[in-house]
Amino acid sequence: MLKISMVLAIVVSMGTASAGEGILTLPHKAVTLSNGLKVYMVKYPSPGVVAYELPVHAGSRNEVEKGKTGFAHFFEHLMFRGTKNMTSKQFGELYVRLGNENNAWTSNEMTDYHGVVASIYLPKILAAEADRFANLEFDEKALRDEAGAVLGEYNKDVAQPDFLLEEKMAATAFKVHPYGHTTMGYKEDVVKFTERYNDVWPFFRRYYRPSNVSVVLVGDIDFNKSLKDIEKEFGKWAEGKPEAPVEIPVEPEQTDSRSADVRLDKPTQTRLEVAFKVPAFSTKTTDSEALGLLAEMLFGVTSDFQKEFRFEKKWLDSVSAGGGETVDPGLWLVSLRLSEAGEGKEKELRAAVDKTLESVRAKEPSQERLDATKKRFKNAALTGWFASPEALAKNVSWYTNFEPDLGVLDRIFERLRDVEPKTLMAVARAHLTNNHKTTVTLHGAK
Amino acid sequence: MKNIFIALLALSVSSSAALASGVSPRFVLMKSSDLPITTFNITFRVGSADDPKGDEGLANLTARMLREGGVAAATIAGMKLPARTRAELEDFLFPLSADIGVSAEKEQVSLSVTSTGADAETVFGVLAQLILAPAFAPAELDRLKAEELDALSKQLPREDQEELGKAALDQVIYGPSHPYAHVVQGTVKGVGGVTIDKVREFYRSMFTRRRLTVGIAGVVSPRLLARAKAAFGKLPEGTSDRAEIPAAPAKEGVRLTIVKGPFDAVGAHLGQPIPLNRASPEFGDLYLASWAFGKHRSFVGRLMSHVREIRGLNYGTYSYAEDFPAGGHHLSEPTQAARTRQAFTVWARPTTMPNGCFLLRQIYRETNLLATEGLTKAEFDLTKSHLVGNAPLLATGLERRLGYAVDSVFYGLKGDYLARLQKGAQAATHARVNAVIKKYLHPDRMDMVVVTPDPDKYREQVLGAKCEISYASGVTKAPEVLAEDKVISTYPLGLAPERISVISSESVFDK
Repeated sequence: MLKISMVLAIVVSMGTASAGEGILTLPHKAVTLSNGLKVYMVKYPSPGVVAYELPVHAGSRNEVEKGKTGFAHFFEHLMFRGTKNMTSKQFGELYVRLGNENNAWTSNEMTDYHGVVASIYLPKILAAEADRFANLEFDEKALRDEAGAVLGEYNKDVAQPDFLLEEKMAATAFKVHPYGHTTMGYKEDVVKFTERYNDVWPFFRRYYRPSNVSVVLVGDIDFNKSLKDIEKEFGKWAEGKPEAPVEIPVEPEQTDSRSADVRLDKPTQTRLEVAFKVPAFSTKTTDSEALGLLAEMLFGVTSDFQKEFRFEKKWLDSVSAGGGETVDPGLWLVSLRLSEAGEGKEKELRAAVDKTLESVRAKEPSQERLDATKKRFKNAALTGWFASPEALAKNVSWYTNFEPDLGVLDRIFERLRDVEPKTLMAVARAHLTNNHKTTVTLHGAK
Repeated sequence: MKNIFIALLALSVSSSAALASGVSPRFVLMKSSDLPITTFNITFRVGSADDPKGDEGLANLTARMLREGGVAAATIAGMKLPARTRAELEDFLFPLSADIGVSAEKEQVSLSVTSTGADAETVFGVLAQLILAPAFAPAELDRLKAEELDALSKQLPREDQEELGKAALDQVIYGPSHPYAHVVQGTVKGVGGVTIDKVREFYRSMFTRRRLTVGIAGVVSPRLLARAKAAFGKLPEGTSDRAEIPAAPAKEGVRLTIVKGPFDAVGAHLGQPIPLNRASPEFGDLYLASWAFGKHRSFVGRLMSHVREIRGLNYGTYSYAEDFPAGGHHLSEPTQAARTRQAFTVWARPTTMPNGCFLLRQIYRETNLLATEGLTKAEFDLTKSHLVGNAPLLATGLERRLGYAVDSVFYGLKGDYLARLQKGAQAATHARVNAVIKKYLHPDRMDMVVVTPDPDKYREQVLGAKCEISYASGVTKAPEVLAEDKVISTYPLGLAPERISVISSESVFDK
C-alpha cells in the first residue's frame, strides 16, 4: 500500500551563528521542522567525514509502568530489526556497504543512535534513519531473538561488581522515581521480554515521535544541503496520534540518611559509594556547575582527599566523583574502591568523606583553587569535546537533551564563570547533607 | 567517489638534524590550525616484551613511574624546569587539564596528551621533563606495585572474564617462555620483585633515542618545534632499537585450555600465530577477511550473524588479524599497541553454562569453514565496500591520526597507514583474499581457551559425543537452523583427552 504523507517540512524556527565568544566557536545552526523534529548542525574540520546522532529524548527514567523496566534499552536493540521497507539484514548491509560506523546507547535520560560516515554517503544514511524511525517493523520472532541478546547483555553486566553496586544504589536512593532501576531494567522484567511483543509498541509510539527526537550533524557538511536532505527524509515523518502520556512520579524529598550493603559470593575488592540527592541539570542556576566543580575540587586527582587516602595511606586505588547531569533530580556520587591496605578501613573512609563535605559546608573554598578548577573545566571542554566530530556530536546530543538549543553549550560556561566560593558553600549546605545521603557498600566473599 | 579517499594531512616523518652525531629520534609532524589544540605522542619501542626474565611487569612499572614518579630540576631546550613531586606536578597540570596519559603494551610505551594550543609549550615542558629528568620517587613505586599486584591477583583473575580468556590465549599460543607470555602488568612474582634500582636501570638502557618516536599534531609554533627537536637529543643513543621477538612455536593438533574462574557463564577463545603484520603485503587481505568473519564490536561479520543474530547465544563474537588489547572496554582499534608478531584469534563473549560447549564447537566449526571454503563472493564484496568507506573513520580526530602515524613508524611503513589500508581494500579481489585465508589459517593447529567456573563438567561435556544448544523457553527456530544446530552439536574438535588442560585463573598471572 502506498501512502503519501501530506506533512510538509516547513522550517518554523532557526538560529545560525558563526564564530562567537563562547565555547562553540565553530559555525553552527539549529532548526526545528514543522513536525517538531529538531536539527543541530556544527561544521567541524574533519575532511570528508561527518558524525551524526539521533537522540530520542526518553530513557529508563520514562519506564514507569510495572513490569516494563528495561524497555528503552530493549528498543535500542529492536531499532535494528528492520522496517516496512527494509529487512533487518538489508538495513544492516546498507550501513556496512557505506563503511558506516554506527551504534546506539541508552541511559537514564535518553536513547541515542549515532554513527560516523563519509560525508558523501550522509544522504543515504539519513534516508535509512528516517525510515527506521517512521516505519519500524519486526515480527515476534525477531523480538524473541533480540530478547535473548538483551538477557545475554544483562548476564554479562551482572557479573561485574560495579553493576551490582549501581543497581543497589539506584534501588536504595529512589523509592518512587524510575531512577530506582538501572538502564538494563529489573531481571524479572528482562527475562519476560520474549513475551512482550504487544506491549512494546505503545512505548514506541509514545516516545519515537518527531517532536521527541533530534538530528545532530557534526563534521564536513554544508548547512543548506544537509538541511534539505533532512527535510526530504524526516519531513514526511508524521507526528501521529500520541499515546496517552504517562506521568513520571516525583521522588519525595529524602529526609533520612540511608544505607545498604551488597554481598558477593566471590572475592572482590570492597567498594564504598556515597550519594546525595541533587537538583536536575539546568543552566538557569549555577547549581549543576557548582556540583561539578565541587566533585573535582573535593575528590579529584589533586584533592586533599585523594592525596591522603589514595596516595599517602594507599587505602584506595580508585576514587571518582560527579553527577548531577540528570533530567529529574538525581544523584551526586563519590565512589571509592578499597585496596588491600584499605580493607577494614570503611568506617574511617566514611568519616573522611563526611569531613571533606563538612569542610565546604563550614568554609568557602579558596578563590585560587576555584579559578584553577574553572580553567581546567574550560580546557577540558576545548580538548575533549572538540577532540573529534563524534565527541562533539555526542556532547551536543547529551546537552541538548536537557535544554533544546545549541546555546546550552555556551551557557554551561557562563554559569561556570558565575560560580563563586560562596556558591559552592551554599550548594553543599543545600544538597550534600546527611538527610540527602545514601551509602552503599559492596563486599566480596573472603 | 574521489572524496571519500583519505586526504593526507601535512604529514611528515623525518629525522632531526639537531644532533651533531648519533642516531636521532624520529619525528612525526601533523600541523593544523583548524582547532586551537595541540596533541603530543611520545612513543618508545619498548614494552613488556622487554621485561627481563623474573622481572615481569618492569616495563609497565617503569612507564608508570615516568608518569607518576615526579621530576628532578632540569634545563631542557632552554626551559628551566623546577623539581616537582608527583602531587606537585598534578597541581601544576590541573588547571591546564593536560591529563598526560601513559600506556604500556607489549612493544610500545607511550606518553600522550592533548592541550590547548595556548598551553602547548608549557605542557611540552612537563612532558619532556617526565621523560628526560624523572625523579623515580621510591614511595610512588610502592604505591604502583600495590596497585598492579591488586590487579594481577584480584581484578584480572576474578573480575573480567573476557580479558582473562584473552590473556590465557596469548599464553598458550606463544608458550610460557615467550616475551608475549605474560600480560603487560607482569606477574605477581615479577612485580613483587621490582625495585627502584631495576626501574632506573631499565629506564637507562631502554628509553633511548634509537627507540623513540616523537609525534606532534595540531597547533605547532616554530619555537615549540625547535624545542621538541632539541630536547630529546639529551637521551642516550642506546644500543638496540627493539626487542627480538621470536615466532610462536610451531604446533601440531588442537589443544584446549580450560581456565577455572569465579564466573557464572562460559567464554570461549581460539587462535593461532600468523607470520604477518601491518608491514606484510598480505596483511591487508587477512585483515579484510577478519572483518568479514567478525569485525570487532560490530554487526559486520559472519560470526555475529550466526552466533548472536540467528541463535542469540551471546552478546557478540569477533575475530582479529592483529592484537586488540582490552577489546571489552574499547570500540576503536587501539594505537600504540603494535606487535611484531601477530595471531589470528576469535573471541566469543560468554554464554550460559549449558551452552558453553556448543559455543566452542560452533566457533571452531565456523573457523574451519572459513579456512576451507573462504568468504562467499557476497561477503567479500560487502566487506570490501565497507573497509573502503570505513578506513577514513578509524581516525577522525587529531589524536588518533597521530597515533596511527606513530605506529606506521613502528612497522616501517611510509605514508598514511589508513590510506594504504583503503587502497589495499580497493584493489582486493575475492580470489586473492580467499587464497590468503587458505594459506594462513590452520584450524587443525589452533589453541582453544574456555573460561568456566566448572572445568570438570566442561571437560566431560566437550569430550562427549554431543553438545546441544538450549534455547530459552518459547524461542522457536527455523528448521534449517535446527538442522545446522545438530551438525554443530556433534562437530568434531579433534581433541584428544591428553590435549585438554585445566588451569586456575590465578595461574595465568602468578609467575
